[in-house]
Amino acid sequence: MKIMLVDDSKTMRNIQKSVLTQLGHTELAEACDGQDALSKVAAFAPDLILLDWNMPNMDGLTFIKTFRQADKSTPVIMVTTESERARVVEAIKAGVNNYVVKPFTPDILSQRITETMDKAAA
Amino acid sequence: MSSADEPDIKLELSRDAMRATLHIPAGASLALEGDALCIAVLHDRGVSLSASVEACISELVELHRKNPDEVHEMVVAEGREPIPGHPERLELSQLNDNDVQESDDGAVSYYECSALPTVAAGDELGKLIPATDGEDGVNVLGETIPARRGKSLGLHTDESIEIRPDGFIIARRPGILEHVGSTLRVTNTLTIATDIDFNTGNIRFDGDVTIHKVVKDCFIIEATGSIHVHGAVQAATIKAGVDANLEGGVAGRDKAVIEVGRDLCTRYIEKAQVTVARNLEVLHEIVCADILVQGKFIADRCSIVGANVHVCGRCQVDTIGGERASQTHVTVGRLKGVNELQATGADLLPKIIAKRQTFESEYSEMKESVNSLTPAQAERMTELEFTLATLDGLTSKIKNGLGQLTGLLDEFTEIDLTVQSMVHAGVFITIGPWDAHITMDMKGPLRFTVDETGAPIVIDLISETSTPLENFARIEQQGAALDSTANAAG
Repeated sequence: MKIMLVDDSKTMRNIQKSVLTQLGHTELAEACDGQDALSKVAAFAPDLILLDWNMPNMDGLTFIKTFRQADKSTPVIMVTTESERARVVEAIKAGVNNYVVKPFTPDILSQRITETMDKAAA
Repeated sequence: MSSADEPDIKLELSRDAMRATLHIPAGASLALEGDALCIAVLHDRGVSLSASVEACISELVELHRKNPDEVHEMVVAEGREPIPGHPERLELSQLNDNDVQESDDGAVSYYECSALPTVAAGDELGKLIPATDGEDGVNVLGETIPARRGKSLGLHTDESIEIRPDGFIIARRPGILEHVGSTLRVTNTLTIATDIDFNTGNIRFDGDVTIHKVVKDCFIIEATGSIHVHGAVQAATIKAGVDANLEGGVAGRDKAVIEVGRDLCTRYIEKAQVTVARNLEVLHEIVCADILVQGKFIADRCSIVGANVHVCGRCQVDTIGGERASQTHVTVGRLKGVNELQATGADLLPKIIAKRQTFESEYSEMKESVNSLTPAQAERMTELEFTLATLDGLTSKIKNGLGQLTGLLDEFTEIDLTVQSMVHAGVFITIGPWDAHITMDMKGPLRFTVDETGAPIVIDLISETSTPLENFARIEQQGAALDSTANAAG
């Protein structure tokens, strides 16, 4: 399964990579903001996107709105510090499939990925 | 057939019945049916008739008619000699052309010009040409003369040789082709009755090698099996996959390299570098050599002078050191590389644990105010969560590794050095983790080991009294921090 990691923090991307590698996913691509992700997503054609909210150049919410105009099916998990209910609802309305609030543990991240992929496959 | 009124036609048969000669006497008056008369004579004697026989008779009768006053005779029938069959024969291929090997710059190594007819598994060794039956003959009476059949070679082979239906002979294993009498086989034992020198070249053999004389300077013997050298080994290289018995000793002139996959037995070792994967036995002495023994070194009559000898297992010798001012170092009960790795691991563990404690404190503080974290703190807390998990995994792996290293040391090392006669002042002895510089002559029989607390001791094997090694030597513990750090690591 191909997974794209979109986060401006390299440390956070490394953490996500570590969890995904342990889960057996090795086809990974990285983007440092929404704009970078949009430029790479067509070529990489991910099966799942892990998306941060607050990023320079283009934030996660703008990315998902733009991305969903062309792709309605690829699952996207928002991984963010934005934990207010209204923000979560806003993201889900924009097209996010699942939500992980920082701080999170490796177990929570892997659980959300499994849930999301199971739902997408159903 | 002969009668008073008929000519006396005679038929003479050779003793082997291969030829029938017809005689018509002078003046014989043959009737018009002379041919028939002659044929009747042949028939009466049982001679097979054929068109060619009849043609000969006609020719003879015609000659007689033309010149009836002369005697006429002619071979009118001949048999066919048998053609004997060919015996079975063996045609062996030319083995090892001994091509001169050139390096890239065109240089030739005459050391590599081996004269040995070695074969590899699957090599075509030659061909067995089958015997033939020959062709039967026949005499003038029509009787068959059997041809002599070609004989079988009666070749004996064993499982090392395959003879294919088309007669090609294939080696089933690598080795030396041996053809003695009617036996053909590939043997995995190579015996060389001469020195190893330019006449033999280097020896690389898949099997056992026995050399009856000397291995000269700079030559190499490599065998996957055992190597037995009756003469001396000079500044040469010996690599045995199994055991080595170097009866004549090793006089290496600082260039000999001996590597043995199992046990080595030799008379003496001088100025050589020796590695033995299991046990070493030396009958007389080790002088100025560098020796690593993975197993035991038991040599009650051997003295070690000016050498560096490292024995992982038990060591038992006659004398260590000498009056000559040459440095002698004997190490017993240490596994090269493993002890060092254990020390590194034990050094690293408390550092990781200390680092983890720092991260743990920061994480605990954040956890107390988890509901009021800034976005940056939330990211930091996630980072800490992963860092702590990573460090826990690392700590667990190091502890596990240290346990395995300890197991290896327990299994393969033995802190036990016995000296029968004398340990001279000035030698270095490493006994387990302890380095000792002996400051006075020590008379044997003595046993160097560690007591139940791990401290180095010397046991007098006559009085059976035990004395701390520090009474005879300046001692120092290698990796002294090891125990304390291991304890700190829990």
